[in-house]
Amino acid sequence: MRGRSTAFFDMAKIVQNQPQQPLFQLKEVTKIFSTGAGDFTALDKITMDIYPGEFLGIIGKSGAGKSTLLNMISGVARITSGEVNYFSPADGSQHAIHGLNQNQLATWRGKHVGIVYQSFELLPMLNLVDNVVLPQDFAGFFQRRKSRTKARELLEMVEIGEHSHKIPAHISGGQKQRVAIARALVNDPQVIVADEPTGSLDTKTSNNIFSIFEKLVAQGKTVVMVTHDMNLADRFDRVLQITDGVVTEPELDENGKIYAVGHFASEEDEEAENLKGVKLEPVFGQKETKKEIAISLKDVIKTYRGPAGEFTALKGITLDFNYGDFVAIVGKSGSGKSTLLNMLTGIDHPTSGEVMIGGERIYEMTESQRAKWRGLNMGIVFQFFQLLPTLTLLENVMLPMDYCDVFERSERPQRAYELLEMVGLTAEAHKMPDSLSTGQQQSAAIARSMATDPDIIVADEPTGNLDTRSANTIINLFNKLSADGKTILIVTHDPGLTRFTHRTITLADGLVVNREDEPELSVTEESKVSSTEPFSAVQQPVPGD
Amino acid sequence: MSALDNPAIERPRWRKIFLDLWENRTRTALVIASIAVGVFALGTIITSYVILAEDMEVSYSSAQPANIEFNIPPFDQSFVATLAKMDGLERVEGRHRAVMRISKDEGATWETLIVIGMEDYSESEIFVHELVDGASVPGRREILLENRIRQDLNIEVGQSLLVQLGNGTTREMPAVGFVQDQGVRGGPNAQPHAYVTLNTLEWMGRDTRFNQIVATVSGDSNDIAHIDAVADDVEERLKKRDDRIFRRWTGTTREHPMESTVLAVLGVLGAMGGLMLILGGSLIANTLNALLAQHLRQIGVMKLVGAHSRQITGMYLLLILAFSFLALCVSIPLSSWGGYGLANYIAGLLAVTVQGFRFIPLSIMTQVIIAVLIPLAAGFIPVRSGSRTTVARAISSNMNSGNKRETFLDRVGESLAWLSRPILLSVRNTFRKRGRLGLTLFTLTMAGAIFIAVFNVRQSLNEFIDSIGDLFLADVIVDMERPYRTDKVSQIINELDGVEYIEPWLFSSGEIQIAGEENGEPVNMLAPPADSELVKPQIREGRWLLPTDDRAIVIADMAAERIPGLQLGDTIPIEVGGDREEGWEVVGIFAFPDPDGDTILAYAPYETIAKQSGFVNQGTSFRVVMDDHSMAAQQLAARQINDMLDAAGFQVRNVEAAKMTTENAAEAIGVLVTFFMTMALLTAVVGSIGLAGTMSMNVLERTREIGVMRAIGAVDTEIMRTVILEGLSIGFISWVIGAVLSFPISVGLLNIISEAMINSPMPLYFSVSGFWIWLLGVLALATLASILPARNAARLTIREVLAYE
Repeated sequence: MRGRSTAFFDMAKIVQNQPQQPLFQLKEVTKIFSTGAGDFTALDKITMDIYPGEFLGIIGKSGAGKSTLLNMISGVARITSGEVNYFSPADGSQHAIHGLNQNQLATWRGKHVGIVYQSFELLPMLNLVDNVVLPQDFAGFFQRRKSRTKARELLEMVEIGEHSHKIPAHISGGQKQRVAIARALVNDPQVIVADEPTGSLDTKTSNNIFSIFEKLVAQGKTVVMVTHDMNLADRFDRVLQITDGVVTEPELDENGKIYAVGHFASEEDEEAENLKGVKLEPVFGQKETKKEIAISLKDVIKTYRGPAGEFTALKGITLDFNYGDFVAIVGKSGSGKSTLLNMLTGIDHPTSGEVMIGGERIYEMTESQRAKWRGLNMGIVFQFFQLLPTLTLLENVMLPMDYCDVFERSERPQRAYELLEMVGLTAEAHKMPDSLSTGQQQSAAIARSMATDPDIIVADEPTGNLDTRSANTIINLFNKLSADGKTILIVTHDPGLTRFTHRTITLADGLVVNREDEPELSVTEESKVSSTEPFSAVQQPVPGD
Repeated sequence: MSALDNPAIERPRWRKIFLDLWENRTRTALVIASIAVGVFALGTIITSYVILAEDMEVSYSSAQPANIEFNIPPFDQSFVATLAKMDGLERVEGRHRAVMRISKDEGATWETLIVIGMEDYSESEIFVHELVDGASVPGRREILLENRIRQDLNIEVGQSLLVQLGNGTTREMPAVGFVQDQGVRGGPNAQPHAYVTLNTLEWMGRDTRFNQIVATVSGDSNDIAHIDAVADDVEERLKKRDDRIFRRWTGTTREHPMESTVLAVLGVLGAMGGLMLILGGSLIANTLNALLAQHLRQIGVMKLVGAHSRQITGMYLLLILAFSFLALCVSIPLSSWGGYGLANYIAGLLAVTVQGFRFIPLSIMTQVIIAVLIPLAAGFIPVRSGSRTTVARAISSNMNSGNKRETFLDRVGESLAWLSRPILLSVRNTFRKRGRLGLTLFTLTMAGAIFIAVFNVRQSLNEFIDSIGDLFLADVIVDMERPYRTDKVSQIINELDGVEYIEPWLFSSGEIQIAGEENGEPVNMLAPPADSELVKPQIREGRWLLPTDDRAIVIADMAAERIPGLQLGDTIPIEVGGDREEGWEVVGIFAFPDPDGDTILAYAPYETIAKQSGFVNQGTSFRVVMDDHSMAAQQLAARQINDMLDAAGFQVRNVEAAKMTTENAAEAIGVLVTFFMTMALLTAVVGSIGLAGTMSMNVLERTREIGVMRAIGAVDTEIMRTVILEGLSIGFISWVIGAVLSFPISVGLLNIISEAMINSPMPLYFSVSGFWIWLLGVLALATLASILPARNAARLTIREVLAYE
């Protein structure tokens, strides 16, 4: 009987449930990536064991090395040094995963490991049965009737049997993840490796998916899952924490809870973070800003319609943002953050409701007019920087000035230099983006967002892909910009980041849930009606969610 | 049962391949078109080649062609009977060959025909006519016509024609039938033939004796050495009889006289088809590269769930084979019909009959082999590298390497930093995917080079035609049956309004005696006045005739090939007009292409020939210059002069607008140029498909960047401009390289054509318009090829772009 601790996390289980012979044994596993800006150590001498039949959770922030670790375990990427050994529970044979070539790895994975990714990774042209059967075909187990029967049984098991002849585009995100799980099980592997399998799903769907994994563990499978969702921690048999490439036992607070993971996990972490070389500067004593409304949303509803049905990503949002505000919009993946960001930037139309920015109804403009307007009035910082790779940093920063025809031509290089100086990149001004570190690229992206001197800067997970030091640099930059009177809106799933902003807006399943903290926030009556459809935001074209 | 229910594609991986083909029909169509265009072109040429090679032989042989022909002074049937007894000859027939003119009715244009007179057509066993329509044998006072003239004159069986007799009077004769005659020499440009019986010839006031011997040899009639030996014996016999030989021709029973020329031209077209195939190959490589790049994530997923590299390789190679199969389904029937149509068209020009439509196994096999091998070769490297991609790289879709070495193109890109950023973006994007750019440039450059080369070849051919035209600078050329006094002829012609002046020319045939050889070389000597403005041959060596010249000749350059050691300044012995042999000084050598190469052409002083022949102040040909040099005016004047001379009782052989002389040659060259132009355009189509594919792939791969551009303020026009400018850059670069490459291609192409047409090289002329037309064309193609991807890019909303994977 698999009991659940009443405490948030029960350390005792770690010891109690460990059998003698590990399934995986990692020794001093190191992974170093070579980048244009030099080497980056993603995993640093990790030594750990994974045991048969356990449900192991590996928790860490974005960029901590979770997925890299999973790739090492599953042989998806090569380790730089160290060993990964797999011990077959069937015959006790040992497989040195680190020494196998690509084809040997493929054979081993096909027989022993089922892999589930956050992004499902189904083949779009095959129906669900064929997607599930595919590993049997490659492993040489394919039998015309038997394989299909088994695939249907597995689809029934993950409760999606009635859709077995549909193609992935015609089912929801949650359903896709079920198919991915069925596919992972088709060759009856001992271990399932899952990388943020609920990361892009709404709460209800996440719970359903997680339950499937729990059932598999109950049936004797080993499940290794990485996630950044702390709320799942108490449902694992064992939890390990990974931070900047180092795996540790999770730190517990006095209530037995794991400290939140993230760049800016708690105020107590600040001292440790400062040791990483960049001092965080919370926004205190910023200069007086005008209290006019910069952005106003009234009863904004966004519904996506697709082959899988309707999905309401925003359920009636009413919000105002003033000039000079520094606001964090937080929420889990799938909560509607990026959809809200799309509404705020004029990237996507609301299904109903009104969006006014700087007193203008931007959805009355054509796409082209809106592009020009956006270039002049709004700077956007993307999670993946999105610098144009064929232009130098200086040219990237000058590009919005060219498009919007602001500043004299002769002044543009000087202004671009000043902006790069502001983010500490003058020495790199003539370098191409791919020769820089991710932190430098994000800094350059911020400089670019300032090119036309817009009043509003919107950033989508600006620290999501950065290490802690780079993340701190970026937050300091936003601090400075906010102090200069810019309106900064940051979308993030890192709750720790809220300590540096004036306001925090928390979204969950398309609703604003922290209205009690913010007098401006409201939830419409319509938005209180929760969706009963288990569709995912990811099946819709919602960036970043 | 749907395709997916087929147990043959039960395995999911094969179903994936089938669905890859089916679900992305546009891409499938593009790849199939890329393969099929080249395969079709080559298949068409091979089909034509084989059909013509086989059917020309069959058709020619079935006509029981002569092996030996001699044109000699008149002889009768008894001499034919004597010759028939000679060893080596199997069958001998005599024919009367005369030039006459016919017209559909009064006032219509007169056409000059070669009229053949025979005793009894039903008994003829050499060059047996193939009946096309009506009767195969003409009766008394009836005329049988070669089928080629049917369309020119727009006449039908039974319709009466006016035939001009030697004395200028006309007779009405019914056209009783149309036939194909493979004894006609000169291919599509040959003068049409008509056929009458000897008693009809007599009724027409003509000599009824024969002037042409046609014969077949006994023994191996396909051994040209044997045939020549027999012909030598016949020639010996003729000389003993004191017969002058105006023309000698020998040929085998199997080989049509035009066969080597036709097959050489088809060979050139085939080479162009092969080139097109290679260009198509680069297109396929590009498309497959892009396909593999798009499928990289799927490859990662398949490897993730257990697929080996060889399984992935097998899947994508099968996909390529499926593309090949579909391309063959298109190309084999189309090329079979196209090839048959082309063969039929060419055969029609040569009076050859092709057998019925059929599939040509060689063509099909070649198509199968190349349709399979070229795509496999083009796709192997992308498939191999795609299938070997690591799962991590495939899943992350990170195609960019952070540590690329700086190349020359990078430095070029850096040096352009003074450009505005949007333009700079286009220029640098152009050089971003170097492999793809290289393949696209290769396709487009070769297309351009061939296009320009075809223009250059056309220009050279036109110059060649013009050089022939320089020998016929008058507006109307009047050839008489015999010499007439210049003043009498001029008096008549001058009555016509618009005549500026008239020049009398004389003509004499002769034989250049070659030391140590029994047989001389026949020479036709044209004798214009020494100060004539109506002939301007291209002098290669020496000079043109001067008024002070006496026995001086300006001889065609082909004489140098025929007469060993002939040099400028040499005095060569010529027997002119059957008189005694005299020495003539070669004062000049002029360029003259002679496809038949039967008789050497030379110009001699009018005064000398007039004195020698006793035709002082007379002419056999009169060159008339009018005040209006247009073709219409020339034709009108020709008709009027003909009527006036006829009315005055002159025996006119032919009156022709001078431009018609070059017009006929130009027409034949026009057909050839049309073939080449079609191939060049097909190549351009391949090139533009390549560019369109490249631009689509570029835009598709940069969708996210386009969204970012829009996010930072780029409006629709900016985005479209960025994409179109990139296409234009590729187009312009291809033009520059293509223009350079067109030089060697022009030389090669012209050499092959001129060897096939005139057995000697033609000088190359460059067509400036070819360069400009291709520049405009390639820029237009580049704009067109970019505009759709550009519009698609501009239409993308940022949301779509950022959601794009």
